[in-house]
Amino acid sequence: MLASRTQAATTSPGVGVGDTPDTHNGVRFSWIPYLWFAPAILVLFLITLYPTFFVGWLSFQKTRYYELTGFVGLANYAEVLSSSAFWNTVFVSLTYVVGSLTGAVVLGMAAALVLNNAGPTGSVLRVFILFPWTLSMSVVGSIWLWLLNPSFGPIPYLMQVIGLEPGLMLGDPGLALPLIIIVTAWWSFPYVMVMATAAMQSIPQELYEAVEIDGGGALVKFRYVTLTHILPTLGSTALTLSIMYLTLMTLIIVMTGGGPLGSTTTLSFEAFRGTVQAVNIGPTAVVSIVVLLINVALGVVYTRLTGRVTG
Amino acid sequence: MNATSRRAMIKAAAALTISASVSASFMERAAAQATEVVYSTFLDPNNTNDPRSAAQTKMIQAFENKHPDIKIRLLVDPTGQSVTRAVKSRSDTPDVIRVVSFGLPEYAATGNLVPLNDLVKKEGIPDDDWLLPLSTAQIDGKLYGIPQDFRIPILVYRKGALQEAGVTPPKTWDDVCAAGSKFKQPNVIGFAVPLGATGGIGGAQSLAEFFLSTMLVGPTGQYFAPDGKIAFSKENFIRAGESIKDFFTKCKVTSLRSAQMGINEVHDGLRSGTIAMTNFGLYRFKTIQAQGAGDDLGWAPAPSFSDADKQTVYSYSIALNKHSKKQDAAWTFMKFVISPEAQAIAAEGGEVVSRKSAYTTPYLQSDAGKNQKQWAELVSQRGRAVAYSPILSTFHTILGEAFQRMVLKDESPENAYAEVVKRYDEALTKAQ
Repeated sequence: MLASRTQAATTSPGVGVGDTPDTHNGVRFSWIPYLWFAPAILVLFLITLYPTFFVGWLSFQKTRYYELTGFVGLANYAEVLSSSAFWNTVFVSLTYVVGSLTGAVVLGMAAALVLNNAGPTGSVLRVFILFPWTLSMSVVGSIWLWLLNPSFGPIPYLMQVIGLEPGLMLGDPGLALPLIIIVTAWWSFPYVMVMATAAMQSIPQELYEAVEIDGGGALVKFRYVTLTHILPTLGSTALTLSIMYLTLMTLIIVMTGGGPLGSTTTLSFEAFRGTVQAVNIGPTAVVSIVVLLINVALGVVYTRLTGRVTG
Repeated sequence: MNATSRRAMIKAAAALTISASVSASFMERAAAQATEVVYSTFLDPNNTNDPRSAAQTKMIQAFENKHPDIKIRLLVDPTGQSVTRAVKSRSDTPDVIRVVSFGLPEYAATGNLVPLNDLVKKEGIPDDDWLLPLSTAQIDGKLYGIPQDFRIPILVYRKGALQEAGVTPPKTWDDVCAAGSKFKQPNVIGFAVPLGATGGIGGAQSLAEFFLSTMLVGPTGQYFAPDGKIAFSKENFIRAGESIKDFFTKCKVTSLRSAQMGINEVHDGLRSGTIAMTNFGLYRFKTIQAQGAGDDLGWAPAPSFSDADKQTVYSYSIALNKHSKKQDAAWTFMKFVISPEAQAIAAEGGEVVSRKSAYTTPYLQSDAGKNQKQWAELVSQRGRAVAYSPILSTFHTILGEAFQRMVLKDESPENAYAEVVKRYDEALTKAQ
């Protein structure tokens, strides 16, 4: 018995206890590896997949708070997707994501480029610039709420000093979203800076020297060496941030509560508010599913870009 | 050290170990026998800056000394979100819930609170030993929560700012409007009316709590009907809407900057002196004084349409979870919390405690408790309880947006009323 098992293990690696012969190609099928993976798969199922499937199931149900009271088919989807308020929220969310991303990428890239050539000073400055990224969102929100307060905030005060009318700041329906975008970009640009710096430091110096020999200036170096090399990293960083922005709501809760007049109500904030306020949370589950689908789409793009980075 | 003494030492150590193990086992058993009651509260016992937290800790210690078989574990939930989820999902904890009375109908509507009428009757708890009769706390004839303390809106003002403007604390809304032209400092809001969505339950809670829950109710005393429908009249709404819009636009006593404010921004404005006066919560008075306003902070009864109008009062109440597995122990704790003895301890934290008989204690007779005693008199004389919506947080959101639209987009109060009624009715129908 022992001899035959040893022989099997020697002739066919990975085949042993629990193996069953594969009648098609003669290779034995082993369930042992699946057994080893089972705890991880179980944990993954419990903490990620089950809640996701449950929200999906919930989106087809009528509920009384968290109690399911009946299957309603696509009624929740019809209710949400036919609501103009929902599409307004989608527009606000996309504006928020695109605006914040643009700000963060531009600022992050600028900081990376400047500090990459600043020697030891750059390293020190980089640590200080990382500061916003290390703060919790509620702290960031509270700080900016004070900075932008139209009565006693330093920013409206400085605007008044230089002759500008600060207006209502976060109380202005036309200004609240741009201000939230600026704050989000301020908070997250250090992440872009770190990722871009890491990518820049892996660029061979010879490439820059080659451009210099060919008479290329700083712009050519940036366009054809730096940008070409860091673009995949930048792409995956941007997608990570997009997913984060789409699900982010602490800043909005602290700074505007979704107002004024719904001008800063994003999909995630609406999902949060609906879960807390609504008796029937089926339609809220639909909003969550929409966020999930957008994130999955972004995730697919992210995976492809990451594939480009890693090989 | 000789062999005999070494042996004696080993024996002593062994004896000590055995006795320690036996004691530990007894202590463990004793601890295991004690029933643990989970009490949800927004007061964090680690917050040394809040005297209410210290009073809460003292009160719990007094209870545990009296009832060593019951231990109280706090579930600190400042925003109330965790408790809301627990109640809505039929959780068996927290056993005892501290909930604001205007949030109580939302919890009661889940069917997960115990009606306390029979328990109160059985214990012989009197109806009239309260600043407002206990029966006024009922929802559709059922008592789901017993008031621990009462809150009535008051006018909070900076004495220096009013003096500089030559304004005396206004008694009516007309007085507030007339004061508008007297405030000349550009960075000082004469009378703040917070319309903002931040803070509180569903946004615009300050607007509802300190202004509209009184203004909309008018002399009829109807806010919401027992079935959750709007019970305030169109006339009251339009009158309130016109008054508030006038503060912003005609009287200029309220700056547009106030439209963004929530409860915390008003708090900051009062302590920094950028708000001269506003209707606010008496429960924050001491804190604002301590945070910089000092003796410059004053208070007066809140203005209303006429100077003797009733004001809507609410309370922090204590409720019993229907799915609690320790209801007897939980009720024992609840009885203690609303007893005059525990109420006297809670009063030291600055609350306007709900039991009349607690006001004879030395603290509330002293200078330190002077404001609380006056507020208690105000509650008794001008306070009234109203029925709230089972979807109050949604109502606050709708109300806040309608008032913001009225002020920021120059909508008419009539349109604001139509918007509120339409959106609220839709939300209520969906909820039911």
